[in-house]
Amino acid sequence: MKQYFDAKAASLNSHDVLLPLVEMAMQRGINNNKLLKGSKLFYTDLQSPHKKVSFEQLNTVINNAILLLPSDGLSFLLGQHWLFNQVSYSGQALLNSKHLMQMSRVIQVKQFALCPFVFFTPYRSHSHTHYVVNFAIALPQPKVTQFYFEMIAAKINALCKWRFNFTQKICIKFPFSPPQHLEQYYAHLGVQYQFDHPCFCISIPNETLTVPQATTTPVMQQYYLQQARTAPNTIGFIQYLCELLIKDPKIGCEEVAQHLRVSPATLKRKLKQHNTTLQTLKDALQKQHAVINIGERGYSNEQTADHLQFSDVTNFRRTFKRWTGMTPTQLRNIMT
Amino acid sequence: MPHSFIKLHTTLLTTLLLMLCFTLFIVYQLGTLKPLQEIDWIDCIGEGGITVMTLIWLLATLVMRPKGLVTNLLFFGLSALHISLLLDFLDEFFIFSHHYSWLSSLEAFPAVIGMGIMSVAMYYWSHEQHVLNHLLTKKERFYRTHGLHDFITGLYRADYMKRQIEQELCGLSQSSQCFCVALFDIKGFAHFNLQHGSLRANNLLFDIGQIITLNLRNTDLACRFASDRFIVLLPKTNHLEATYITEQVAKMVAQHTPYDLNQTITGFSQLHCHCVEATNTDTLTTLLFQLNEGLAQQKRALVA
Repeated sequence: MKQYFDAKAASLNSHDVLLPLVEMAMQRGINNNKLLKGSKLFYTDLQSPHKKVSFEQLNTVINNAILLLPSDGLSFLLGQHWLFNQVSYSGQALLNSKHLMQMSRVIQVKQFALCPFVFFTPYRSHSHTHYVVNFAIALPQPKVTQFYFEMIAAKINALCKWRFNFTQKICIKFPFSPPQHLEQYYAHLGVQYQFDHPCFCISIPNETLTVPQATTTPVMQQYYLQQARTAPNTIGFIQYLCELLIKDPKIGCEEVAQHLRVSPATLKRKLKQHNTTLQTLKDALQKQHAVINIGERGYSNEQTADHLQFSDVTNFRRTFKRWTGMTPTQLRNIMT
Repeated sequence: MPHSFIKLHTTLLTTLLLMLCFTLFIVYQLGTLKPLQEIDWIDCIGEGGITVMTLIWLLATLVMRPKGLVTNLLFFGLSALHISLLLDFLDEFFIFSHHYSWLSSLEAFPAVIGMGIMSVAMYYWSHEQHVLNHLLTKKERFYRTHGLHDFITGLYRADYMKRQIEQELCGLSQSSQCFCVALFDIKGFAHFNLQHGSLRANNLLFDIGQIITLNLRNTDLACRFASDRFIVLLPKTNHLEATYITEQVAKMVAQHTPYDLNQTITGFSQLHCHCVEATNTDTLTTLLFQLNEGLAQQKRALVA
C-alpha cells in the first residue's frame, strides 16, 4: 500500500502555489506579514529552495488572501502561472503527452508532483468522459475550496488554449452558486462552465480526448517519466481513505483504523482535524456515482439503486435527496 | 513601511525628539519632585492618556503623509499641542517654586498656538483635497470607498461599477434616462504577460487604465472589470454616441507605445471593445452577461 500524508505534514513544495501567491499579493500592495498571518511562515523562509509547507498552512494563507484581496481573481492567475512554469520532469512528461487521455494518466501516475491537493475519478458516458475532482488531503472551508476549484479550472482553460483548439467544447461544473466575482469567470475562462452542480466535475467530449497535442515530442514523454521515477509519490490522507472505501465500500471504522495502524479513537480525531467523517466520505463517493449515473449516463433510478446496492428505490430516492438537495428527476431536468 | 517612514521624515522626527528632551530637561531643572502621597493618580491617568493619544496622532500623521507644507504644518501644530499636554501631565509630578510659577501658567500657550497652526493646515489640506478630487473625476462618481480600489490600475474594481450600474438602472426605470456600458479587452494580453512578465503586464494595465480615463468625458466612469478587461459607464448617452466614444478610446490606446526597462519598445496594444445600451427590462446580471457575450462573439469571429 502507498504512503500517505496529512494536512499538518510539511510535504508540499512552497514554490508551486504559495510563493507565487505571496508574490502576486505583494504586487497588489499587500504586506507579506499580513498575508502569512497565522500560518507560522516567514517570507524569507519561503524563498529557500527546499522549503516545504503543509496543506493547513497553505489554506491559512489562501484564506488571508481572499480576505485581503476580495474578488481579485488571484486563483485564476495562479492556475495560469502554474501551467507556464512546469519545469519538473513530471511537468515535462505532462506537456509532452500525446493527447488529453495520456495527460490524465500522467497526472494519475505523478499525482504528488502535479496535483497533490486533489485527485480525480473518470466516469465514461456514451458522449463524454466526466472527471469528478475531490480533495486529496483534507476538506478546506467553502471559500478556500472555491479558490482551489477556480485554480484548477484556470489550469485546464490555459492548457486547452495553449495546446488544443477545442476549449469551447469542455464544460466545467462547479459545486457552488454563481459567485459575486462572476466577472473573473467571464474574463478568464474560455471553456464552458455551469454552477450549482452536485460535484466538481470536468466533462470532456470523448472524441477530443485523443486529439493530438500541438508542439509536443511524444518520444520525450517516456524519457521524462523515467527521469521522474525517483520523485516521491505519496497521496493525501483523504485520498488514502477514499481508495480503501472504493476497494471495499462496506469497510468499517475499525478496519480502516487497522489499515492505518492507529486506534479507532485516533482515526476519529484525525478525521475531525481534516474536517470530515468516514460516513461523509462514503456518502460523497456514492453521491458522485449516483449523480453521474443519473445526470450523465441516463440510467434509471432502479438501475442506479441496484448499482449502488440499495435495497429499494424509495430508500435510494430519499438518500439521493439528502445528498444533493434535489430528487433524481430534478437533476435530470437540470442536466437537460 | 515603518522603516520607510522613519527615512522619509528624519528631520521632523529629530525635531520632535529634541523638543521633547528640551521640555523634560526644563521641567526637571526648574521643578522639584512631589512626595508620592501628594500625587493624584486618577488625574495622572486622564492627563497621561490624552498626552499619549496626541503623540499617537502625531506619529500616525507622519506615517500616512508625504513630505510637504501641509505635513509640516500638521506636525508643528500637533507637536505644540502635545507639549502643552505633556507639561500639564508633568505638573502632577513636579512642584515649581514661586520663581518659576510662570511655567505652570504658560503651559496652555503652546496648545493655543498649535491649534492655530492646525487650522491653517486644515485650510491648505482642503486645497490639496480639491486637487486630488479633480484627478479622480473620471475614476469615481458621487461617493468614495477605498475598500473597492484596485491597486494595479489605480481605478475602482468591478464591485464599484456594479453599484453604479444598479443606480443607473433605477434611474432608467424611474425617469427613463438612457445610459450605455462599454467593455474593453486588451488584445493578446496573455501573450504580453508571458513575454514580458507580470510586472510589465501590470504596468501596461495601469497605462491603459490611464489612457481610457483620459479619453472619456467628465461624467463617465472607468473601472477595472477583471484581468485585462476594463468597464466604462456612459450616463445619459445613447448607443450611437457611446460607440463613437469607445471607438475613440480604442484608437487612442492603439497609439500607445509601451517601453520596457531597457527603453525598447515592447509592441503595441490594441483593444477589443463592445458597448450596449441598457433597456428597461435589463438587470445588472443580464447587462453584464450581454456585454461579455458580445465581446466573446467578437473575439471568436476574429479567430475564425
